[in-house]
Amino acid sequence: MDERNDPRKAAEALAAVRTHQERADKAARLPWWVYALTFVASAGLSAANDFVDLAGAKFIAAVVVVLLIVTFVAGLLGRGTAPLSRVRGVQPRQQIPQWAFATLVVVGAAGVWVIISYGGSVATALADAVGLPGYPDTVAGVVFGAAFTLLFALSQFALGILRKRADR
Amino acid sequence: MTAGPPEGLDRLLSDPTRLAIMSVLCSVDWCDFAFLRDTVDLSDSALSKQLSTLKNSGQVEQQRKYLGRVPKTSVRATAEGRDRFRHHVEALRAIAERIPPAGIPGE
Repeated sequence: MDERNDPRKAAEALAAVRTHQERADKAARLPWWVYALTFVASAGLSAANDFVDLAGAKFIAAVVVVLLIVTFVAGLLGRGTAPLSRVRGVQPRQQIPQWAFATLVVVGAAGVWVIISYGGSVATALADAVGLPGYPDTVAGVVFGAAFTLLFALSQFALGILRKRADR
Repeated sequence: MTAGPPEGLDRLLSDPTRLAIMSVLCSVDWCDFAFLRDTVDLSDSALSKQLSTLKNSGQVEQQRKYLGRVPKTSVRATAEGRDRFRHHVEALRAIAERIPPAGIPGE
């Protein structure tokens, strides 16, 4: 109980709290391979259009739908716990300010609208520019995959900062 | 004149090990026993003992689940536990701010 009246002991206790919280934050952070997988999946899905026929595209779409359903059901069965959190043994805090969530939704929706509206023509022009005119979806996939992964990483970074601010 | 200890200090959290445990639990939504044990560098028995103390005071709750046949215990800080931890940290901050600047003659 020394820290009750000893400022230095109190400062040491605070430093220990910070150290443990930083260690926990770091351990609870999404691992690097989640970002790598996000890039590969988003780029690969688009690139597949250059290499598979209609039946193949239907098969890929079916696999994606099944994966989404499995993830959704796993989340429901786990009462909101992400399957990845269950595997890793830790779930980061979910509480974020409503305005931050709304901002993420608006930015995401705007991104989807831009891709739907201009994605096709931009991808074709870009593929011609880099000398791969036969693979517009592959070029688009790499670009959009990188952009999506970057936005995803930035959102995680922003949420981490918001959580830290809320702790202060 | 010496100021008294500020309100909010929690007797249980004055123990460094329990403070470390609550620091981790208040940084996450929930975590497994193994994750907590590795993060605070404690043995299974030492962590169990401290968790029992915190559980009896209503600061943490534990849930035992089975992943196949393997039992898994998850731990989370209760709302009361988070409040008490926050007040304890605020009280520590108030005490730490009393540190006089270094280099003052007579210190």
